[in-house]
Amino acid sequence: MQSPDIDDQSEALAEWVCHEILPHERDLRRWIERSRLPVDADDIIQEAYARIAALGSVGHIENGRAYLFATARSISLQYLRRSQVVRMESLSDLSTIQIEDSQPTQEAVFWSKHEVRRLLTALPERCRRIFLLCRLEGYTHKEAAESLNVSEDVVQKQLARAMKALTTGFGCETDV
Amino acid sequence: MSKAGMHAENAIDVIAAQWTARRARGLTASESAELEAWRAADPRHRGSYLRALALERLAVQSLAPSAEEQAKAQRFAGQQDQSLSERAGSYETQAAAALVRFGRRSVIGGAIAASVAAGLGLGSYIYLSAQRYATEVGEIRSIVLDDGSNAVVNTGSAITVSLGEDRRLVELEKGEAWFDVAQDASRPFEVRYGDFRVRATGTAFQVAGTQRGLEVLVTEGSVVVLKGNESTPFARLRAGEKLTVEGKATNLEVLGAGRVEEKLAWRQGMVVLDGMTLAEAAGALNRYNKLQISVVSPELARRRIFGTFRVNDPVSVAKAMAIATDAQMERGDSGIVLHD
Repeated sequence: MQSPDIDDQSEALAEWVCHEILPHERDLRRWIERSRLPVDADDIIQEAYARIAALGSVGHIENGRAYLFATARSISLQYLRRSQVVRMESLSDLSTIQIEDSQPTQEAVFWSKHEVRRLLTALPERCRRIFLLCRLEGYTHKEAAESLNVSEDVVQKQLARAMKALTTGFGCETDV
Repeated sequence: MSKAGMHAENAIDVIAAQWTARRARGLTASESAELEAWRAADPRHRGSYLRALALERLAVQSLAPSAEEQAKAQRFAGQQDQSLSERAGSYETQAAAALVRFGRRSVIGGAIAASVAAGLGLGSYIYLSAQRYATEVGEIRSIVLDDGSNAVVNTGSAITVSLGEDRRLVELEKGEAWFDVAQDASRPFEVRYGDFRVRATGTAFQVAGTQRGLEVLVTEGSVVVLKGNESTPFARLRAGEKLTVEGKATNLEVLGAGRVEEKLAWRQGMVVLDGMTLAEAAGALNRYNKLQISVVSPELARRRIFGTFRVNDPVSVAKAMAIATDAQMERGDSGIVLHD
């Protein structure tokens, strides 16, 4: 079974990320794209999650959204400094860009839930069923395999497929 | 990585997804070590894995929302209807699976889902999401619901359907819809509009929302109309009866089968103008069409017309009106104008 020490920490952090960070991912992406900085939004977002994952605890962070935006800004700055050709105006742009954190959090939370439902519903029927059986109903992979008359390997692959749809698709419709 | 706004598939995210799926099955000791090695190899791996775990939670929690969250989510979905239907198919296809059996050992969202289910009295079922059906002007839509019931939604209307284990609930947001309810005594079928609830078990009826109240028309069987939280019925209707509520005024009318069929002709895309004034007839047609008919002379507007017409052919109706009343007909910028 999974080693409990890693997982306990991951679970608590994942719960925090689920409520405090994921809902703001779309706004962060929009903010980066709108800033017209010569940085890639995907890179910045990925790096931001890397920094969050490296945090020992999140108890000191009061506002996840503000923290996410500040982290993204600091990463962007680092990228710009590192890049071969630095346009001075980019750096000054970055320091003057206001972090938009005025948007009510509730709306972002509803958006995030709506977004995962959108992705789940877009899955092929069998894939969605397997995800729902295993994740919501608590079937073991073996039970899910038996009830759908497929192999455990199929259950495993379909679950990975569902998760892939979530990890690669979440927050991608930025211009809604 | 992504270019030009399109978000390309990220290889790290794909691997992270595979790990969460393997983790769900339970990792062997060697797999655990492998996962640790992968996470340690690059801070981005760790970040991507964390994000995947968080997304997994979000997915489970989004399927088991609190009642309040569900209501808000519905409003949110409503606001986004247009862009969603343009982009990703209509909302109802997104919310395809209306129900999820809530089972034995739910992994993460169990406690939440269980309390929601208990709080709403839904037994072992929870609403995954309600399905909303909205029609454009001129659109008439026939829908087969998951319980086998039929709904026909008239022009410019919207309903939201939630099928639960112990009840079937339809919220009429606006407009008019006719329901042919599949028999299921254990799950009453209830249509809500404003303060009113029209309840049936196996029957066919129509509910129309009006500005000051509602109109209920029963084509088969019988229905009970309830108001607010009152337990005594506000009204009981049998086939062929029509209830009209306008503000404080309530009127129960016995129409008979023929008149009921006329009233429901819209389901075949027809409208029966049964002695309506021209003004009323123009109003009835204008609900279905962008091309609007207006009757500008007051005298003319009070004249009456009879006949059965196609709802989507305002030109023919206007011609018929003009011939029947010896009026002049003109095509203006905003539609068809009838005058003396």
